[in-house]
Amino acid sequence: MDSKIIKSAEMDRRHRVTNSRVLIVDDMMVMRQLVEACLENEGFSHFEFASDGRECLEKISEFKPDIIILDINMPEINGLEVCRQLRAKAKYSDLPILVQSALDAPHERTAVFEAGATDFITKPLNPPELVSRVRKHLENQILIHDLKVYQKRVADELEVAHQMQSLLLPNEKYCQEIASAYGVEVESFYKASSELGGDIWGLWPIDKKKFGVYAADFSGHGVGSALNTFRLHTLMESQNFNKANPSDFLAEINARLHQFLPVGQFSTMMYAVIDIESQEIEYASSAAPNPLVIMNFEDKVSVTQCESSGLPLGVTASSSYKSMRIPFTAGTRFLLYSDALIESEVSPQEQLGTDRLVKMVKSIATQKSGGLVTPLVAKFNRAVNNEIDDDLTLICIGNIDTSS
Amino acid sequence: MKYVESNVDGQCVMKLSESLTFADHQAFRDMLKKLEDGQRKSCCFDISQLVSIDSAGLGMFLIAKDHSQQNDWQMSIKGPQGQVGSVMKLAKFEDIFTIVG
Repeated sequence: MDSKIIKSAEMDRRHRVTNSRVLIVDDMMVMRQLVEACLENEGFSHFEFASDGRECLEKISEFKPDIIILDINMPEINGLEVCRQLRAKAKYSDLPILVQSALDAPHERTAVFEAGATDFITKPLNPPELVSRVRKHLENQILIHDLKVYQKRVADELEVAHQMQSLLLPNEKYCQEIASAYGVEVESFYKASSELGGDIWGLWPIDKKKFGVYAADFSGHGVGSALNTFRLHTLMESQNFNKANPSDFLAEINARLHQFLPVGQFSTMMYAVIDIESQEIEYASSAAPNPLVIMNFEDKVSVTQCESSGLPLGVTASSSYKSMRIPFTAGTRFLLYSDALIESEVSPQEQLGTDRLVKMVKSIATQKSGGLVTPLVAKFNRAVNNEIDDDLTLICIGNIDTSS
Repeated sequence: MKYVESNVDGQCVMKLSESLTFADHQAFRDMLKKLEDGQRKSCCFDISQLVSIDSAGLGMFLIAKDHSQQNDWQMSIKGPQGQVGSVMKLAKFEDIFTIVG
C-alpha cells in the first residue's frame, strides 16, 4: 500500500482516538480529575463524569461513551455490578471497560474480568500506563468498528449481486410455461456454495417442436466465476448463435469466450435440443459431467450415462464438439448436473462418484410417483459429509408418459 | 497440494500429491515462478500421486502451459490416475497437453 495512504490512515485513527468520548466513574473527585488531566494532556477533550455506579448507568445512554474508566469500590452500585449490567445489554457488549482499582489480589482481578471488564489497571495510577491502555482499547474498538462496517458493506453488496444472479436463471413460472408448451416436465435445483456462484443454466424455445436447455459451470467459484456467468448470459442474449445445432452452438460460444476469458479460466457446458416431435435429444458437451438418461418402461428402470467429453469452453480459439443423439420417448428423463453432485465427498478422500449417483437415481426413479430432482438433492445432502464447497445445479427434463 | 522437485535424466520433475484445488492457486503460481527462475528447459508434472482435482486445478495446468509457451520451455504431464485421470479425459486434455503414462 502507498506509504502516504498508510500515513493518512494512521493520522485519521489517532484523531478518532483522541476524539473519543470517555466516561470516568469514581467516587473520589480527585481521582476523576487525575484521570481527566492525564487524558486531556494527550489531546482527549470529550469527558463525562459519574461519582457512583448508579450515576454511570444513568448517564451512559445519553453520553454514549466510547470507553468507560471505572472504579470498583463505590457507593450505591459498585463497579462489578456496573460491568454485569452493561454486559447484559447487547449494545454494550463490546464497549471497552477499563477498571481501575486498588484491589489487585488474584481472586479480585478474576472477579473483575468475570464481571465483564475489558482490562484492569491498579491504583495508584501510573499516568503513562493509563494513557497507553486507553489508547490501545480505543484503537482496537475503532479497528473492530471499521471491520464491521466493511463486512456489512460487502455483505450488502453480495446480497444485491446474489439477487441479480438469481434473475439470470429461469424462474418457476417460465419453467412451467416451457413445460406446458412442449408437454414435458421441467425440474431444477440451484445452490451457490457462497453468495455468488459459477453455475448458470437456462432454457429457451427454438420452434414449436424444439426447445434448448443448457447448464454451464465456470472454473473456480465465488465472485470471479459469478462475473463470468453474467458475461456468458449477456453474450447469449445479445448474439444470434445457432441454438438449433448443439455442436455449432458450443463452437460459437467457445470462440467468443476465448476472446475474453483470462488464461486458466474456462467453462464446461452441456447444451441439448429437445425435439418433442421426433422424440429425440441432440446434445453436445464441453467437459460437462455425463448426463443421465433415465428410462422407465413397463416398470423397468434403466439409467444410462451419456458420453460428454470435450474441450472446456474458452481454452482454445477454435474447437469442435460432437453432436450426439439419444431417444426421448415417453417415460424418459434427461438429467443434467454440475460436477459438485459427483465430486462432493461422502467420506474423507472419497467422492460420491457417478456410480453412486446412478444407484441413487435408479432407486428414486423406481418409485412410481413424484419428481426426481427434489428427492435426489435430499439423498445427496444425506450422503455428503460436510457443507459442499462448490455450486450445485441439477436440471431434469422428463417426457411425460401420457399413456399411463 | 504438496510438491517435490527432482531431476530425472536431466529433466526437471515436479511431483504433485494430495489435491489440486482453488485453494492452491497461489502455491501453484509460486511453484511456476520457482521453476522459471531456475531457467529450466523442460518440466514434467508427475501427478500420479495427485488424488483429486477441481476445475480451478485444471485451470492451473492451462496457466502452466501458457507460461511454457511464453517462456519457451517444454511441458508434459505424467500419470494421471483415478478422479484426476477421469476429469482430464472428460476435458480432453490429451488434445492440448503431452500426457505420458
